[in-house]
Amino acid sequence: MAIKTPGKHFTSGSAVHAIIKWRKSRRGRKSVMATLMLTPMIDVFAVLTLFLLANFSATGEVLFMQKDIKLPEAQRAEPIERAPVVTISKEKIALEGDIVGKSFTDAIGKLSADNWEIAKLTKMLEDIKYRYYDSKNIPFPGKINIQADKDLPFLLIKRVMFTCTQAGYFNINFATLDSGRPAQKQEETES
Amino acid sequence: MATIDSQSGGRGKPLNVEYNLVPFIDLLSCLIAFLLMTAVWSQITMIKTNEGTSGSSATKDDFTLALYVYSNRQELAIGEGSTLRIPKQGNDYNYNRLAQELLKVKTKYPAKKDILILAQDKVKYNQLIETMDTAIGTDIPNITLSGMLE
Repeated sequence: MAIKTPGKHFTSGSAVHAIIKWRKSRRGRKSVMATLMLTPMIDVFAVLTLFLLANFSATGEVLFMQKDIKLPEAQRAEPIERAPVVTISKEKIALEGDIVGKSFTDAIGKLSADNWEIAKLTKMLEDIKYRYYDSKNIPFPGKINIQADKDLPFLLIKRVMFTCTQAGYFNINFATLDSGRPAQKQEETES
Repeated sequence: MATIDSQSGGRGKPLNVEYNLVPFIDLLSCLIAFLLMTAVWSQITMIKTNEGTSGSSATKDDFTLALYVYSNRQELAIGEGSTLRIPKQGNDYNYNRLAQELLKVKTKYPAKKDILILAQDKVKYNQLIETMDTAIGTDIPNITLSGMLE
């Protein structure tokens, strides 16, 4: 495709002489006309499209990576499903971004049979459950995703799990980072 | 515009064809923009657990396969009988040994699909995930995770 220099473009027949005069005046100079190579550009576009289509995920982003949470890695985990997300970092516990408690000040050191349950989390989870009952006529699946930092002690996770089960969420999923299948990993190291 | 130049050689109609590539490039550009906007770059997956239900209890292998995760060792209990002790290897648990032992159980009881994992409070979440990942790797996908009385 030709790139034209900006300015007047002569279209009428009366301007032909003007074009010839202009061309004659430019004789001997280097042409400013350039041809854009379309074939490599289409090649790049096609490869990029194929790469993006191969990596396309219909479910979209269920969880968002957070700065203060390093997820553990797993080789044989399943694709993540959409469900309410409880995030547990070293500082705080949150449900869908709303802080429901502080991690260590609440969980470690002050535990007794009375304060196992995180009251605010229970209330919020129950609200989500009742909204689900109101909007749909199918049984409540009781699914919840836990996105926790990999260095946390199980005590903290246990406390959140206890609260979730108290609120009627029995199918607890732990978010992990996919580190590839064992065979796939071996191939990568060999190459 | 892209052209296919084919010399006819005779006096007939020239066989040159010119493709109009502009709509094709437009389509590709739109598709790339859409795919880039909706792309998911981090591959987040999940490990499922069932709290309060013990998985496939209806199978003929009706015994409890329990794995106790202590801060210094793991213990695999097969039913009411034997308990196998798997000590730590350095700072981490011996997941290869655990996988071998679970595979032995699977060979003996192929229908066994559920395991109860009981962990101490001090055990790191990362190590628990790796333990559950090992169990899934030996075709025991129904995991019940629970705390241990200390």
